[in-house]
Amino acid sequence: MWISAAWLAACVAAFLLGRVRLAPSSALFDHLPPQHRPEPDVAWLMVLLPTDAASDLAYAAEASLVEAFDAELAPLSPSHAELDAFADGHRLYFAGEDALATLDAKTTPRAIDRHVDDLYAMLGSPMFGAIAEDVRKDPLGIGRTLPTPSPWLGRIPDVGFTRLGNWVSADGTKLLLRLSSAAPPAEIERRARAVLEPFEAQASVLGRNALEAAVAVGIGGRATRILAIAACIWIAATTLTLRRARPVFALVACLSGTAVGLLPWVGALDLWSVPALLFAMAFAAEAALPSWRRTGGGWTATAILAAAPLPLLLSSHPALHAFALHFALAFLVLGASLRLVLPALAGLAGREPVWPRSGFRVAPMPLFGVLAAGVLLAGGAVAMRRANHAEPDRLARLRAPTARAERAMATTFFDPDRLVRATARGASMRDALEEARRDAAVLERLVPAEADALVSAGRLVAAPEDEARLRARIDDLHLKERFARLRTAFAERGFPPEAFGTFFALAETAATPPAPEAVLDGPVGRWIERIATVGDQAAAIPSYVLLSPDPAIVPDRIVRDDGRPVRLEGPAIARRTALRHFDDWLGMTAIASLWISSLLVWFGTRRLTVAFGAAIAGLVAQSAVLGSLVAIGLPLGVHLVPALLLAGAAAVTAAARAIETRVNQGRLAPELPLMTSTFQIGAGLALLAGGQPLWAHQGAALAIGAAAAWGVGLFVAPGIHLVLLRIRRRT
Amino acid sequence: MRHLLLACALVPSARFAVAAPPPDRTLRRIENRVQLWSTHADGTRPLAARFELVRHTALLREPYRATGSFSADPSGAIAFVGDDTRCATTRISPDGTVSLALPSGGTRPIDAPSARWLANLLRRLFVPAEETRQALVGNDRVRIPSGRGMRLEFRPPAPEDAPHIRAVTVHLDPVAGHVARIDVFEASGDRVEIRFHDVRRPDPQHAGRPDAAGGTAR
Repeated sequence: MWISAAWLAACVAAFLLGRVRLAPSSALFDHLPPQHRPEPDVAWLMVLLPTDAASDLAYAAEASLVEAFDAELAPLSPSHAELDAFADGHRLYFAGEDALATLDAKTTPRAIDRHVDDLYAMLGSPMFGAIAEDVRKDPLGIGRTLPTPSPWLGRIPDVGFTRLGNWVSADGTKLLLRLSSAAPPAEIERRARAVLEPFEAQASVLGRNALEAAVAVGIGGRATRILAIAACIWIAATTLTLRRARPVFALVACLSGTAVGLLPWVGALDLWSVPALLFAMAFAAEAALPSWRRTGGGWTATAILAAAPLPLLLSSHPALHAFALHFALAFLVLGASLRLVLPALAGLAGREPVWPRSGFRVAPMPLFGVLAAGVLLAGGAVAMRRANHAEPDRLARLRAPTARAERAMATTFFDPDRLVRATARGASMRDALEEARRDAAVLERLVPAEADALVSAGRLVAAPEDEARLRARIDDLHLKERFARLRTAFAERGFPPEAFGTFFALAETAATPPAPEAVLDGPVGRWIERIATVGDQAAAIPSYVLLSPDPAIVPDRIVRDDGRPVRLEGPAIARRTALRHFDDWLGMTAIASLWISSLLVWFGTRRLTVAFGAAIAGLVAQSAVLGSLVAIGLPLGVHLVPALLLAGAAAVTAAARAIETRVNQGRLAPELPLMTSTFQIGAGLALLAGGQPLWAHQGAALAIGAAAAWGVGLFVAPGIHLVLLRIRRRT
Repeated sequence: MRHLLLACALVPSARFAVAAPPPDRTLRRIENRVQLWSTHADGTRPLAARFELVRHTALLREPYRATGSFSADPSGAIAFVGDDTRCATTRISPDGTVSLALPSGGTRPIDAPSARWLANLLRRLFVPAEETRQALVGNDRVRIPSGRGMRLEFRPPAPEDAPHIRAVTVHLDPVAGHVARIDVFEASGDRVEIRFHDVRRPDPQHAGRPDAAGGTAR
């Protein structure tokens, strides 16, 4: 009695003490290394205008949004006005040798006379007004021959920049604005909708915060539903096995109570902790059986299952580290509570379970075992080659409210995951901009082979080593004298000098080199401040690279001319790197897990053939799971690896038990496979019905793994063990 | 009782009859001008004329003046050929592209919305597909400017269709109906006056080159 009361008090106290940690969150990007997660405060505001909207409606809507969100805007391009003003001030600096040669040819005395004659003649055309503005700003047409400096290199197909530096779709019905705001996504969306009301436009907020919030909605309800479904399945199935309802209720109550107390201590209520806890409950359930019904059910099986996911600690996925630790903790605590508390609870419940059968003998089938193992291993290998891959976060938000807007953004503009960043840091903005220039010089080489586009403020900055060379080249042109000649030619034709005042004023400043200070103080300085992060003693300016859509493309190590590496960070880098090495990593992790499991079997049995046979059984079960998942069309991913490792460990324990039973000429209690597989398959089915696609995939893997583990353990492993014994005897 | 009911029915009808809007006077005046224009418009025959162009511009101390020959072909080709070599020749090709032939011997294509809109208007004025109001007005906004004379003012449907042009006023000859003058008001503040005289429709069989006449640019 007192044990039950103490357990109940402990569960309640654990839950109450930890409930502050239970705020629903999604941990959507926790599988990515922290530096590769999307920027936390960046929000993409996507605007969908009516399809029959007037052509200028998008620009009117954009102007209203820019006014409302002015302080939070962080566009990836300066406005046209800012860029034009910057270009006018430094255009000559960005001219290449060809452009300077053209400028040289256009400003000879003879060419000047010809230009002025042509200009005068053009006034006699009624069409002159269409080009008058260009002629006034640039009467010699020099600007057409000089490149316009831009922070962008490359472009996004079918997408254009608006004059304010945001994106507009080719048909003018969709707008995309980039904001940097710590405000809740719902608040941003509410403000945008209020601004867009007169335009009958819809607004959606995307970005890390918005996606995490969208997935976190209802996660607590889903977790409760899954637990309830699992409990129902467990009760129904176990009652049939044990033929007594009360002990089963006591078992499920013990499991559930301990799980509720544990929940706050195995992570928050998120995408990874809920399945970790349910997995632990499913695997710990066998501790409910009395020890005399558990062949080899002592510390060996417990240690194998608790240690199986530990190789995940060596992975680059933080969510898997947490899963491994949380699973091990929950599994051990649940197992302990079942062994210590369940007898007391069952005693309170009154009646003992019925153990009608004494067990069955294990018959080895060497030929079938070898053949089945061969077929399943080959099937697993083929499946690995043919498998599709999916990212856990993408699966998790398949049915999120933001899914439609995400698809629209990816098809109309670009997938924001492809936008990766290289952050240039310095003690001041000036230093950071200088670093960004050096980064941009090497990042440019990625376009167009590996990246669609690059945007970097560093592309607007003069390289000190080029400055003197260009200055000398521009001095060679004697532009001052040539422009004086041009003034005279204009005056002779009756053009007043002030008519081209803008041109002459700009011509005098166009050769100014854009040093970092000049860029920061100039027209584009405000844009750089919008995308930069400035601290007391440090500043960071990111350059962005839009990687090619091909998932196989991952830029190799990028090294600047001064030998320093440039690190690209962003979801696409982490995903593509992981995908490139997925098969190798999965193989190494599975083998490490099986090695630990077989080592523990050897410690428990002191028989090498048993350990080796169990390890082969684990590998065969994992191959069977992989083959089945691919056969039913489920994509593979890091989210399935814990279930795969646990399926292998379960197969190792099942195989070890079956082999031990055969070696000792004993009998295997039928409740053991029935109960363990019932709990594991029940947990898998509950996850399948939970309404969260990520959990559904994990649930399918768990259910298949549970079935495969005992199937291989009972029907394949003893035969393999027999073959191993014969080989050993012969050698 | 029957009379009372009849009165109740008639009184509102009478009120509607009295309150009916008067015929749209502006629309009628536009129709008058279209009718006048259509008496001379004939898109199946070439048109030749002399023109006198005056540009009031801030680029020059004095207004720019030029004379020359104007021609419009049923194919849609239009040319303003200056008499003086110091005046550029403006050509609108049948496909609507605009280019300037310059004294230096070069050609400058003008691919700007304003030029395309103005070229389209000139083709509707001088070589229309048919002599109807729709053929003349197209999608433009049309009104009658204040003042005397048979005039029509054309504005682009939206500012971005011709960002450099505010309006074009077309003066029709009150007797013959041909286009006598075109005033182009540009967004920059410049104004271009083009006066047409000696307007004729030469027989296509014997049509000479329209740029044969002499003149000077001042």
